[in-house]
Amino acid sequence: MLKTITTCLLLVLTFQISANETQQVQVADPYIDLRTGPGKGYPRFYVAEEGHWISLLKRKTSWFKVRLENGTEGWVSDKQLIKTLTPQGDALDVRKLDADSLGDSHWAIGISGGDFGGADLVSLHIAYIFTENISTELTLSQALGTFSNNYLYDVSVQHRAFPEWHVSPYFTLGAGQIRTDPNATLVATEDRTDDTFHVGLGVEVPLARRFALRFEYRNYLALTSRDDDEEIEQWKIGLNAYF
Amino acid sequence: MEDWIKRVFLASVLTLCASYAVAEQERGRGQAHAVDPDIERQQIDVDAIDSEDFEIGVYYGILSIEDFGSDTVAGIRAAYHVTETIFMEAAYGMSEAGETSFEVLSGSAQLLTDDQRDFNYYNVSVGLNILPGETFIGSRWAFNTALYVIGGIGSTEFAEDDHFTINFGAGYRLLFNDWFAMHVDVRDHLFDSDIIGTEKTVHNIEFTAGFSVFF
Repeated sequence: MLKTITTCLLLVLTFQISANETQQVQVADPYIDLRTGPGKGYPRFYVAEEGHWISLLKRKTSWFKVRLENGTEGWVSDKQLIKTLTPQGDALDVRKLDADSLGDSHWAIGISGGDFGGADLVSLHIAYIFTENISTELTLSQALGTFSNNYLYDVSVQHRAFPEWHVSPYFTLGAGQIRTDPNATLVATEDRTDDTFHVGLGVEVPLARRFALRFEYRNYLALTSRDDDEEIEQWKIGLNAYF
Repeated sequence: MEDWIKRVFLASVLTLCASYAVAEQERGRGQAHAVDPDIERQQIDVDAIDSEDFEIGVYYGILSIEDFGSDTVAGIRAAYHVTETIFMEAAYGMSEAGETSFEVLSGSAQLLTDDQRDFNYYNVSVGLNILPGETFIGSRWAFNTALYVIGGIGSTEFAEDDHFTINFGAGYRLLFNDWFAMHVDVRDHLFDSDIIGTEKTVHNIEFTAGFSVFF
């Protein structure tokens, strides 16, 4: 019990220490606007003038919550913040927030829907990005057909040959498992689980900062216990967000 | 006399040495100052700034299951806010269907067993924050709010079968502070069903309220 309390206290202290380590920048533009919320739709309520020091408190999407020396707190867009300076007068390095740069993101999550051998497909994935060319992805899917349901999980490696292209194609290769549950209304056939391999091609079209539309085709090979292995085609369209 | 001259001479030499040493020290300090910024250059690390783009929450409300009456629904949701406008959401909800009017009127006939009445769904959706603004409560309180529209796909398990489900709706989010929010959400869950004999598209309207935290 005592240990738990000590741990909790330590955690709170650590949190407070890290929370106190706010970074400061000096306003280099003639002025920057402070809004009441993290978005263009929220009203401007204060203006910080050139030369004022502002502390960066937190971030929500592309908006930073800042505190002025007089204690006023508000939200500033990264576009305005890019124009501010660091304490030494160097331009603030906000490459990470650059609209076209995905190179600094290490994770991506996405959702998609489509067709899996004639069945409706719902899919969720999470990806880890090693380099701008190579990433690995875990995909969980359910395909809802007339006669059966399929649950799929796949681990795949993706290669982007031209990461600098605006519309970026990629190649995917992976393995996983497929579980087939026949529908309840049919004559009882047993559930079965088979190993799968897949190859595929996809393309990503950026829609907004760190956000892309994705089209993908995969050809699955299910290694069934029957005489013939089964080949299944999957088409999907989805959204991918980098963070 | 010689001693007196010696003393004056020594004192002058010592004073000179000391002032030279002080001057040297000061010059040294000046030089050190000139190179200081190179050593102590401070960079802004954007990654070190706490970001609050993820959201997780619970909700509770009423789900009207077509032909099977209305019942309570409870669920969890997780969201990632990509931009100030767009967010992605995954949700899982649980409810239980009541009886059809046929079952009620006939008295004993049962279309589904108790287990088959479980109505569980999951979905993945995309939301758009529209109409952001502020709500004023009294003269002292102002809360950030947003109305959002949302739609997506998923699966509903009902009558021991999974149905491909489309959902769409709208919601209202009120933030008490930067990280704690309240939601009110209306959603329609549509899927094709043949539970009562003929195949048809069923609408299941859901009205929920919930809380969420940003992290």
